[in-house]
Amino acid sequence: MKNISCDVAVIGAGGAGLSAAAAAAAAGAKTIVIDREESCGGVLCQCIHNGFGLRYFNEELTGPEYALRMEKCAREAGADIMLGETVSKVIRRSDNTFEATLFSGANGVTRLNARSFVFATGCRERTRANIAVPGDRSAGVYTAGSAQKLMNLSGMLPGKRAVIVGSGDIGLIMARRCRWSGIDVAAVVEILPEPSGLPRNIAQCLRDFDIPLLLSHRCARIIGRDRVEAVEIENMKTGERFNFQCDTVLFSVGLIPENELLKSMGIVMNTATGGPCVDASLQCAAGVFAAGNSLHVHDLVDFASLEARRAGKCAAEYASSGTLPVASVEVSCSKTLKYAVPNRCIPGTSGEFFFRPTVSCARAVLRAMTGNREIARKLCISVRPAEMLTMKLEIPAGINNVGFELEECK
Amino acid sequence: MKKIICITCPTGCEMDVEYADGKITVSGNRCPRGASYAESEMKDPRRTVTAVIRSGSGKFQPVRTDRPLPRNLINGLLNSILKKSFPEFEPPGPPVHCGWLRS
Ligand SMILES: Cc1cc2nc3c(=O)[nH]c(=O)nc-3n(C[C@H](O)[C@H](O)[C@H](O)COP(=O)(O)OP(=O)(O)OC[C@H]3O[C@@H](n4cnc5c(N)ncnc54)[C@H](O)[C@@H]3O)c2cc1C
Repeated sequence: MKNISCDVAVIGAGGAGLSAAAAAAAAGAKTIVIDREESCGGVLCQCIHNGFGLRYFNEELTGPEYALRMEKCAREAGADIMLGETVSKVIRRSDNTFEATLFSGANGVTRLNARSFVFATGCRERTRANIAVPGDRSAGVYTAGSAQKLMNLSGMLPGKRAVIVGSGDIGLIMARRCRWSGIDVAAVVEILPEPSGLPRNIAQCLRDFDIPLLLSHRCARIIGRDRVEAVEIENMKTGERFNFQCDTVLFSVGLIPENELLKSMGIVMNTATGGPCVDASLQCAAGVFAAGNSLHVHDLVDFASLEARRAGKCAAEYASSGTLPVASVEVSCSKTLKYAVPNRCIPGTSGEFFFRPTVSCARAVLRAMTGNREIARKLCISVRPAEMLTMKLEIPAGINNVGFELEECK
Repeated sequence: MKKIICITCPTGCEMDVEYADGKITVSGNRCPRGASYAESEMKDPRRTVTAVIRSGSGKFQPVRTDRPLPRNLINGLLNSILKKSFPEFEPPGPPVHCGWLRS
């Protein structure tokens, strides 16, 4: 068995992991990134559309272009990248260092020793089974992301006429991708009264092609003995049901952070995000860091990369010093926010927070409070659950809690 | 008056566009890129196109146009690249530009 060692090990070479690795290596840590795929980029490789990078690289890039740039950043900073290796286990040793077990067809089992770990393992898609759609078990039912992978990486078409369930960005992007590949799209159906994707994607992926968006409708049943023949749609307001003829159904009904490795290490998950609870260093246990979609689902890769930079830098600092500042300030949020990340922060420092709103409104004020005292506020425009909010904050010394509130401006 | 959503960045400003006597008035945009997008959308709508092409080894490679293309040319472009294979284009090759496919 091969034995290798480093200061910082990063699991996942997606937009988050590569950025964490670049930051850790730039901070002087011997850094290794591990990914089970044969190329870097994670989900970016299959996102061939443009719309990435405006914040991180100040330029509009496609997913693969963004991945190439980020890989270059990581390599130039001095990080090593191991591809085709799956991490199956990470344990903490009694001396507080870590040991991971990697395996691959080419190299068999490898033991990797590291002082700190960044988990940037991304997320997986919710499926038909997760939302319990009854009906036939016909062929032609895909998650939107797996159809995207088939089309964009293998050049295969999933069918001839599709219905897309869910109006998140992946579903919308796939509606256009289908039309541009000669696949008809009967409709996009969304159970909620408003679309969950970005307005720009409603415009350029649906309106450009006159694809109907049926809000407050759900996919009630799948029909077809061998291959999908139709889906039954239910109007959530009237209860009326009707069929759409199609041979393909794409489910774009949400993402689940992938944290099996962290869970097996006994790390507590945050039920609001599906990721671990973290402090301002994005640390979830001493020496264990998380970033990107496995921490909380990001709509923009740029934010995942920016957040991961912090995790990488702090992981390098931990690897060299063995400690990080204590995050003693508890973070909480009002009902209008589904969550705030991180969950604890450090008094007397500047912090950056990410939020997912639960409400939609044209204008809202985001306030940071400690007790009844307001310490900062920010005006937010066109607030929607589909879009993450961020806030930079100078955290006063000597406080022990920060509460964030989002209030609609009437 | 027409309502359009700016596709230039993820903010997606909702804009009101007035087009009378060849003169365009835009409101609702939060930056100058919105105004130029609205103008182009009214006069000559364009989109950046992304697709995959079959390279010489049979692998598929992502490609994009190097600028937004008039919307009425998109289907023609896609038809021409869907049917073709590009033996001279091997990964890791350069990105393909719209000019590259003219032949
Ligand atoms: C269809 C779609 C459209 C999108 N559109 C946009 C857009 O227009 N603009 C935008 O900015 N963002 C967009 N996003 C969001 C953005 O792409 C993601 O938020 C971001 O890429 C996530 O990066 P990540 O590194 O956290 O995760 P991932 O890219 O999922 O990377 C995780 C990596 O970890 C690896 N891994 C996991 N477990 C292990 C293990 N045990 N061992 C080894 N390796 C492991 C995986 O193989 C994977 O490569 C889109 C996403 C999708 C799916």
